[in-house]
Amino acid sequence: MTKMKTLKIYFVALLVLMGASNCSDEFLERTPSDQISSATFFKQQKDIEYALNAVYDLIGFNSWNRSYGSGTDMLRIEVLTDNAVDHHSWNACYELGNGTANAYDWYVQYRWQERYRGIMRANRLLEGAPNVEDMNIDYRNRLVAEATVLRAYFYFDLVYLFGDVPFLTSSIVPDDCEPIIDADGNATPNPSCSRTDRETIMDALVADLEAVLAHLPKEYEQDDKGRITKGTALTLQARIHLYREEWAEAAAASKAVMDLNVYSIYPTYANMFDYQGVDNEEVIFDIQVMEEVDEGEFWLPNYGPNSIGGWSCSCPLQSLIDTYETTDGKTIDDPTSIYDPAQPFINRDPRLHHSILYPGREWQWGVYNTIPGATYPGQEIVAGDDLNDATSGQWNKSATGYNWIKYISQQDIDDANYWDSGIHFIVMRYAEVLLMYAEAKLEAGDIDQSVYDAINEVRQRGDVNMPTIAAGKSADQLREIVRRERRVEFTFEGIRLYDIRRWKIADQVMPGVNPGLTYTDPDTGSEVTLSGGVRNFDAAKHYVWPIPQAEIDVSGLIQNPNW
Amino acid sequence: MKKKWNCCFLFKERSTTKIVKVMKLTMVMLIVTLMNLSASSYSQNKNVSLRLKNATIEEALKTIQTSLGIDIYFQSEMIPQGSTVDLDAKSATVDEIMDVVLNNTGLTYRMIDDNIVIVPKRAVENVTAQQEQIIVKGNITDVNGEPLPGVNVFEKTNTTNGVITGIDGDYSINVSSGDAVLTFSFIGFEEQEIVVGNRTSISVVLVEETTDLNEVVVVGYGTQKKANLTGAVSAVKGEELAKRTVTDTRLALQGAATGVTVIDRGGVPGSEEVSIKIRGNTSLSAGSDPLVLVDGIEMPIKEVNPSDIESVSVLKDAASSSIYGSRAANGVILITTKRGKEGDFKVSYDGHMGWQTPATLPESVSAADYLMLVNEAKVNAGLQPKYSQDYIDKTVSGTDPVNYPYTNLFEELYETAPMQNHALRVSGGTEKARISLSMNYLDQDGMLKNINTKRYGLRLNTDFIVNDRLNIRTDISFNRRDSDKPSRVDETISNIVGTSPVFLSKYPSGLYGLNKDNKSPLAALEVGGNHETESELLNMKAGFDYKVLEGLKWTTDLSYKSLNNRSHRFLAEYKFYDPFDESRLVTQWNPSELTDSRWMEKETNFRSLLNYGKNFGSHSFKALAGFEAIEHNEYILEGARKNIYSPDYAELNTGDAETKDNEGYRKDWALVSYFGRVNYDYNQKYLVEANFRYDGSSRFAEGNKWGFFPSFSAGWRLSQEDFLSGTDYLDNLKLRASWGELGNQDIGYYKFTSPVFSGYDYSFNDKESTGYSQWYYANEDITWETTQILDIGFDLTMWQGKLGIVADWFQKDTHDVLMTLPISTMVGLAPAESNVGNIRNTGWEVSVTHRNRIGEFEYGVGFNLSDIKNEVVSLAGQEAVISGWNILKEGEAVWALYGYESDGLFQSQQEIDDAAKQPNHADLKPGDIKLVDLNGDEVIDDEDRSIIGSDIPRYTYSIDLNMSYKGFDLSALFQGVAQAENYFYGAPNEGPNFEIFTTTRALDRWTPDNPNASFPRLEDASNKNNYLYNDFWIRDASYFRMKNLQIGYSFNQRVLEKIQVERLRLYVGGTNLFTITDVESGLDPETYDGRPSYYPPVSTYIVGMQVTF
Repeated sequence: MTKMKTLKIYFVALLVLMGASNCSDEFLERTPSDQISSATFFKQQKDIEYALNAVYDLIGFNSWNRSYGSGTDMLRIEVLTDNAVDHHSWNACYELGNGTANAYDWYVQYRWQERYRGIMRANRLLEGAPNVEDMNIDYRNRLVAEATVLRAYFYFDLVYLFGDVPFLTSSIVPDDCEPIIDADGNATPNPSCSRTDRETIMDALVADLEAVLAHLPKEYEQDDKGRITKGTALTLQARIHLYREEWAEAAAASKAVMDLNVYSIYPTYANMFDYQGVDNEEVIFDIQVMEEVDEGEFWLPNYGPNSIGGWSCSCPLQSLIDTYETTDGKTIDDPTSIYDPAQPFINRDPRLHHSILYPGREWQWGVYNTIPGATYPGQEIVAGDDLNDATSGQWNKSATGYNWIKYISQQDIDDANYWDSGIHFIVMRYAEVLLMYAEAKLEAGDIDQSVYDAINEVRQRGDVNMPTIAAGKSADQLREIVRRERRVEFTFEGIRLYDIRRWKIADQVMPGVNPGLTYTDPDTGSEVTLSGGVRNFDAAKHYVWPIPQAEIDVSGLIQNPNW
Repeated sequence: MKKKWNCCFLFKERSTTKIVKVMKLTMVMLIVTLMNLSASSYSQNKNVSLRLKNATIEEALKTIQTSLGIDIYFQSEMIPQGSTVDLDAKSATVDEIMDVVLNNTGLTYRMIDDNIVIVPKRAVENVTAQQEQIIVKGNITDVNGEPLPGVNVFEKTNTTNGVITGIDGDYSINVSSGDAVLTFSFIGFEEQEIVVGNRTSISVVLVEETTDLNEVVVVGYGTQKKANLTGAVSAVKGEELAKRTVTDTRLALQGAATGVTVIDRGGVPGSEEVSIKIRGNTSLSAGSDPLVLVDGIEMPIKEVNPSDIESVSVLKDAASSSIYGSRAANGVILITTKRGKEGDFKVSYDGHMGWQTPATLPESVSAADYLMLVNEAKVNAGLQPKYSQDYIDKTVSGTDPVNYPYTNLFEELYETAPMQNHALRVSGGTEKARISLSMNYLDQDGMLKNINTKRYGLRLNTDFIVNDRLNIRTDISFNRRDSDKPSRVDETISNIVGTSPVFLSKYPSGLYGLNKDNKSPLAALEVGGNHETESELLNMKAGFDYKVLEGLKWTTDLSYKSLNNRSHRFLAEYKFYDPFDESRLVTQWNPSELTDSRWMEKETNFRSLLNYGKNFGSHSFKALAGFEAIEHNEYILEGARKNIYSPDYAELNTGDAETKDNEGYRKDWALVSYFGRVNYDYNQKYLVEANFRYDGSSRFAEGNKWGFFPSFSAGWRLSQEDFLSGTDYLDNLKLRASWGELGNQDIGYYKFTSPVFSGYDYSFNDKESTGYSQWYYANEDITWETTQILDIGFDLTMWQGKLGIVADWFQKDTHDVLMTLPISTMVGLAPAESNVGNIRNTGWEVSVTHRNRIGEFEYGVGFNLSDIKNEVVSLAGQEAVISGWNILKEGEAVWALYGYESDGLFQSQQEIDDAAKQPNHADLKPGDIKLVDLNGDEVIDDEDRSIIGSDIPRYTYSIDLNMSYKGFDLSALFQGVAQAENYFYGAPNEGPNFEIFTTTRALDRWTPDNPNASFPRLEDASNKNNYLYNDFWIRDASYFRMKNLQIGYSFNQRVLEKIQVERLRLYVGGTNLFTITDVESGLDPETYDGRPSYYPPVSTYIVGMQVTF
């Protein structure tokens, strides 16, 4: 009997143990089924292709870590210029615009972070690509070249926004950025990720671009449309040289783009920022978004006027309006021009009409109007934009009396497509190359007919058709013409900030009250000038952004002066 | 040994339905032992001398017990009060003395061994008096096979015919016929009824009744007598939950136990937001919900039908929960379902129908007030008034609602909604097999249109008693839930507050009105498309108990659980035209879109336990060793297409092929565990227990997979000590202390790996191109969060259970809290979490119960109070993390409220000029909020912000009332929190300024004539400073709420016999019947911080019926 009991105990113990041993370590080995281990990535051709697409994914910029409206958010920086203002205190760039931002500013933080995210994706690709041997070497070189140009594009964005930044050309781990603590407890940035002189960076970027030019095609087949071309690399090179005031090199790079004979001026300015203009012959580099996919741009709500449900998050300023010439090719302050202060918006450079909503401009079924009490005989005012018109949503009405119409597409309005606009944000286009060429040549003192031709090619676009600039201008005159041309041609394209920084005019055009529309109040008869409020600009501080405080907290980087 | 002169009441009086049971089972067991050991050690014929003068019967019995040195058992209700006895016995026998004492009391006595048991006279007399045809004999034992002496056995229809069992549990009774029903009752045990039939031998196993100290509480992998518990466990009986008129087990637990904080945040039926936290929040990013086990298997508590619940145990301290190791840090809720019991099959039905209305809705201002307030806001902003007097008059008159509408969308859209719940149960069994089958059905409409949820449940629990060594059981439960709601219901909910009341939901033309954002809350309910979800939860379990040796039991269970979810979300297309210009398209939903997804989970659980128990004299020893393995898999599949052919044909196949989109992936985890427990007690006076669990989890990297979680606890039952044994008021007093460690493995699935993810796609030429990238920088060293709990408490029961107190103090320290420490953003990867934080929850809990019976009036009152103080002890040197109006900071509660302090409203321009410079200072006007310059630098900036509150309620309490009189019963539950804050942000503060839903709070806005206002001056849209996060908007969110009320009537036996029903009870009930709170304007104090866009908690009113056949 006792023996039986003992046996039973052994039996049970055995069963329990069997259960236990059944579950070996293998049972506890679980790894994701849909995520590839980083250790085994970059083994085949498609790994490079996929990794490269993820780099493209970061051309635009947004703060939500997803590919959604990235062009829309990138364009917010227009309100940091004399072209526009945003009056929404809760919006990104509001404080950067009026000079009250500090190193905690989240737009600054995210732009920094997302650019480095793109740089590191490119770095990992550049490190991993040589491991993939089983593929066409020319194709691999092209993919590597695309990643290299994208990395240069990210770095140039950082350099012109922040100044000196850490120049990291290989992937790093968090420890690489740990500050070095000396015996006294003082922290200094880790040499492996401290700030590099911006000239050194730009030298390297130019060299990188030069090195990969040969691997890039002039054009792509249909389904690769939107990829980095030789033209993209050269245009970026020209931008860098222009920024460094290396005029001869800038002119040469621009000329090289012109000589590609790939790009030409698209005849319809009115359609360039609408669906008809997507992927037109002038586009060198844009953010490719798909139509009818939930990852489009939100141009309509963010920048549209209140009358169509927009928020007016960027409102054009009067000084921009005043920059548009009259159709006779004269500036409005020229007493000989056909400018009529009583009808300020007629007989103006057509690009004004194609870029900006101003009181009396045709709009929807009637006209756009922000002036209280205004009437437009024979035309109906579309309600929603006049502060006193009793529609609600005051805070979404323009602060300056003007709204953008670039990127605001009638098709999106008709489809009530607020969140998924398929209109591509154009990062680089041929007109910029022509005007860079002209600027570089004139600054280099090398003014010839090609300079006038370049300017006039832009001015003579089909539906713009402004009078040509006649030869015989002085360098100063030409400089004024080119700068004006750049401002009106590229307004609301994110280029003005780069211009007012490199021309060092930001401290003149930014401070104080930047006025908007002036009108006569029909009730009181007094003049009212709208504005987006007072702005500060300290030349000793505001020409670069602060290094984000969150980054300084972690890596101990040295802050920019006065921030 | 303690003298037991009056503590034992052996007999249950059968004429009353319920007896106050103060009998301690332990005592009975002790007596049984004593009887066995001391057989014939005392002579019944010993002569004694005794003098009594004018003594009550009870005093007399006490004196006899003391002087004779024997035990006398009686039930105090039987003893006539007021009658006295005089006695002067010299050298009398026990018989003689007892005869005198019990003379004229209607009582007599029996000697059982050397003990005297007082019984009613008739019962004994009748045994001898009646001469019947059938003699039934049998033996009564408890579940452990121990014979039960003193059990009352009587004939149900002839209550005068009864006997009691002898020392060996045997009885013999004459009954009139085979139709007779025998009732077996014994204090501390559940009564049983058995039809005699043609049997002459009926042996019965009586099951202990779970009450008070006899109560057996379910603990991890076993049970424990409440008296012997050394950990902090709150036990709630299923019948208590059944008194709450809710169909959601989570809500049934609200206020049911100390240390359990249940917050009802409302929500659409089928996806209600109810949070359960046990003793605070221990984690920042890992799971913080308790582990819920239904008969040992992890289940979503939401899908547990309350009527299936036999008992719920909440394991709160480390001692009771460390046996669940790495899943126990947030506490454990053990739910045991009802099983079949031996006896006739019974069919019972419990069903109710009811109506739901919003428990509270924000209160709207009147039309006249709203229009006036908007005008005031405009004028204050320097604008023209928006509404003319003529417009206001026409709106107020309400005669032309099309052109002059005024709508309270809350009242328009939230409607009374019906619900019904039915539960049917069949249970019973024989000696060899016991079965419980239950079915339930819930059908609940939403208070918004087109919302419905249905729950179907089936549970079959079976036990097969193969022989006296082997029991086999199989349980199957199946739950199905079908929910339907408008796919754009969230849009409706958020737009109800975001829409100006100058609004018409639908014009006579049938066109929808649109608000400023071109949204129509009503269209989103009616034509926005439908979101169907279905989920099926199946659990099958088979297992056995095998008695290997005396005292050694082997238990093994294997279970398989599968969860199948389907979600079919259709977003309809719709064109909105201008109601005043019907040809103009204002906005549209386009294109239509269908997302169809399947989500399947399966989980296999195997476990094997060995239980051993043995007594060595006064030493009692129990041990448990176990092994458990769990494997969990999930499969997710989702497809989507756009431009669906029509709402009537909403399937993926009818969408545009070009737009097809899909994703699918798998997830899994596995857990292997070894665990054990040792209990030891000396004389049930000194109790110690130790638990451990050794867990291996797939969620961690090699080297971090295994964790060891021990706990130790001890108890001291002071009431068993000699120095307290003489007190007649003290039933039980036990001191408890415990310490242990727990883990939290709920950190996500593969946190230790550095994978490359897909999903970073880019599109070239309008075609999607797949993008892959690493996303985060993995922390390979990631490990569980570890929680240590120290708990000290006591249990006190006095006056035969009339008063019970359970109190605990605890400190719960969680180390290795997962936090995301920032890394340089130049790394280009998101930082991974690391185990660096430290959170402490300290608190105490008291539960006081009082039960009594006065004549036929029985009542009970329970009061629970818990205090939890939550503190972030360490953030690993990181400075505070600020997110909106919340802050995570060392020394403060988790995500405390953070912002500016306010100092009332500015009263004059002079005051503004003299005040510290606020942002946008130039815009300030009298009536704006004055912010406090904390650092005295004359500038209000970020440096002036401070902790301004916490939305974690400090005290939660509940009051539970139960009473019954004759057939009537009433139960009520009140629940509340104290010292809680809520930051009501957004809409309730904006009202007329942004022309949206305006609560009555805005009426008390500042004007020069109302300087002591509770609301700042109005200003259209642009006032920025008043909305800076500041404590002006914080409200004391304390509340006291009547959570539950149920009043029932049970028909008496005579009526029921006629209709051949065993039990019939009708009841009415309600939930959330009233609320007392300082939060004004109908805002709900239980809601989330921030904008009040929610589906409110509901008040329900029900009528129901319970029948048992």
